[in-house]
Formats: sequence, C-alpha cells, structure tokens
Amino acid sequence: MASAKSFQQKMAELDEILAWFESDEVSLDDAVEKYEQAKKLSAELEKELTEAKNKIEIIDKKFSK
Amino acid sequence: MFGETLSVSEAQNLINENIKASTPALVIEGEVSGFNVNRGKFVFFDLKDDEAILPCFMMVFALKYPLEDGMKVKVLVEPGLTAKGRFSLTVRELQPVGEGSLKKAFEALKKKLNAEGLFALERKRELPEFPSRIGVVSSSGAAGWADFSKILNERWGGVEVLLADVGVQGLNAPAEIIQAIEHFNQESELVDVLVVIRGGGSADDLAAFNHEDVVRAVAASRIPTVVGIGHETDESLAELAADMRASTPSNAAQLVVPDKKDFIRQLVEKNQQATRAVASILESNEEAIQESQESLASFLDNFFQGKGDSLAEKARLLAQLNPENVLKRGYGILRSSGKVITSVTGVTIGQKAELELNDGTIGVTVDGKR
Repeated sequence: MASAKSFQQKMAELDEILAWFESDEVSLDDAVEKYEQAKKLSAELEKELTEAKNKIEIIDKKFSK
Repeated sequence: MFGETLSVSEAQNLINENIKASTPALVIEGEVSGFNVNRGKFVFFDLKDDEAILPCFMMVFALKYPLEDGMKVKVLVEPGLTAKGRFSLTVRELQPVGEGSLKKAFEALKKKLNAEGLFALERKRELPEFPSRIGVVSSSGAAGWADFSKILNERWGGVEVLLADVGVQGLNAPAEIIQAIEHFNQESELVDVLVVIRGGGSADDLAAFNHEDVVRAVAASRIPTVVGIGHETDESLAELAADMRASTPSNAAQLVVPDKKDFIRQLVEKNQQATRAVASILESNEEAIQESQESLASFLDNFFQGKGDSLAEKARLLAQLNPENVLKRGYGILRSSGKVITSVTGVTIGQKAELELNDGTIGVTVDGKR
C-alpha cells in the first residue's frame, strides 16, 4: 500500500459513504456525487492492492556474540 | 640437560597456551554422566563414550537446557588445565542431541517456564491488522524464509520487511537468534510485528528454539511476536512463549498480513452496494416524479372541468397555427439547402430551391427578384 494508514483511511471513507446511503435524508444530487466518490475510492484501493510491492531488506549486520 | 626453568604457574600458562594454539575449541558429542551442580553455581559432569571419558565444567547460568545423566549432548568446549592442574573442558555451548535427550530437556524446561507464567494466555498481545514494517529473524538461505516471503508477497504489498539473517541450527544459533531479537527490540523505531521462523528439520535441527534464553528473549520482546518453527506437528517452547504460534513459516505470513484477495472481494461487494443504493434512490425519485405528474394531470382535469367550450376554442386556434394546416390553405414553404427562405435577400438568381406544398415538393430555380 502507499501506506497502511491511507489504505485504512480510504477503506473507512468508503464505508462512511455506504452508511450515508442508508441514512434517511438522501437527495438524488448528493447520491450521485457520493456514488462517484465511492467509485473513485474503490478504484484507488484496488489499484493499491494490486500494484503495491513489498520492500525486502537483509539487515547488514552480523548477529553473534 | 634442562631447558629454561619455569615456575609452576608459568608452566601451567605455557601448557594452556600450547593447548589453545593447537586445539582452540572443539565440538564434541557424548553422553553426560556424573552431572553435579556445586554451590548452585558450578556445573560438573563427564562426557563419555564406550572407550573414553572427559571431565567438563561450566557455570550454571550458561546451562540453557536442563541436563541429567544419560543425556546425549553436543558441546563447544575449550580444553585446558585448571588452576589445580586438572585437565578439564570448559563448556561454552551445550545442546542436547537425539530425540530422547531433547524430549527430556524440552519437558523439563517447559515445566519450569510454564510455572513462571511465560506461556500464560494473558501475556499474549494482538497482532496489528495492517503492519507497515515487519522484522524477521531467520536464515536467508533457508526454505522457511523462502516460503514466508513467497506467501507474504502473494497476500499483501507495500510492507517493509527487514530480515536479520541468522543461523537457525547448530551451537551458535541460539546466540545469533537472541541477538537478532534484541536488535529489533532496541531500534528507535520498532517494527510493527516480529516474526521468528525456521522450516522443518530433525529434532536436533530445531533445538535452538527450545534454548532457555531464546524462549525468554521471545517472551521479553516488546514487539508482538509470531514464531513458526518446523512443521505443524513440531512444538517448540519459543512458539509457546510467542504472542502467536504459527504452524509453519508459510502460516506465519498468513498470520501477519491480510489477504488482498479478501479486500478485492470486499471492494466488489461495496461497489455493488453503492450501485444498489443509488439505483433505489433513483427509483424512489422516479416514483416521486410520477406521482407529481399524476397530481398535475388531475389538477388540470379539475381546472378545465366545465370550461370545455373555451378549451375547444383554444384547440381550434392551436390547430390553425399548425404549419400543416396552413399549407392546406394554399400556402407553401420555400427552402434552399434545407433552410427556410423568408426574404428575397436569402436567394440569388439561378439558385435552386424547393417549394413544399400541401401534398408534395416542387423543385424551382430563381430567375429574377422583384
């Protein structure tokens, strides 16, 4: 992930939008806007999930007494 | 007839130096006999096989596996003369060998550490759900590390993995493993989770993970720690002391990072959920529009009721304004290239045009303007 934090934050934002859809006072204009936000967020998240690579480093140190 | 004369201590030093030069350290495997702890501090035992016997000495604090007569052990020793002139092997490292001896040491140490509460469930900490930095203690050339990193890369990305490359078997392994665990615990920025792994092997190969100080180092780690040694059926004391036991190195990777496939599935579901939500909002809006259209229609019905005459008149007026009806009355519409011509300035002499009448169109050519 770009950073674990931004991944979690975006996931939380997406969940917030989904929760908003369930609320009572939802106008069509707002709904369309939120829907576009949700699409954008999930596209970004999917990109992060599929493209992020791990960085593996062997510590340059001898471990012995 | 004599060479240089030495004092007794000089002679002893010389002999020890010679021993050290020719035989600095030896690794010996043999059976323990005459095991004895003196004043709670000094350990004496003999190492023997069928033909020979060698006296050994070590400090109690250096003994990291419970010992008893009859156990087979492997020792790293430095031979020399004691101050009292007795030949003795000073034991630097010791590890039980063979399943029987290892099992005995394992059970005895398990009992001791369990009584101390090292394996207590209430000591176990939760692992972070999304670690961004992972410390690994393993051997870079070993299968366990290869399995771990393969599964880790398959499951998750964007993580920084730091490997402390240590020996995972043999007499030096415990010291290296402890150093590596301490290294991670002393860093100014701690990793989010620490993983200690080793692939499968014989009971002798896995012995380092039943070394008392290794087990204590795992228990003392400030960083939440996962230990995965050998196969599913292998149980090590380091695993029991860890916050979480992994059955294998691959399983350790599964425990420390989530699986991106699960999240991609979740994203698909969330997308569907959003689409369903918007669709249902649209639907309810359409219903509202339909309702308002219906109420408008019934309003108009009510409004015009009883005013039929004037409405019929208006309809007649509207009908008269319809171009089709105008054409029926003998008028025509002149067009050139699809555009309606409304002025003599809109055409030039010789220009072709069409004249639409009630029942068809006539092609015309402009031959003059007046």
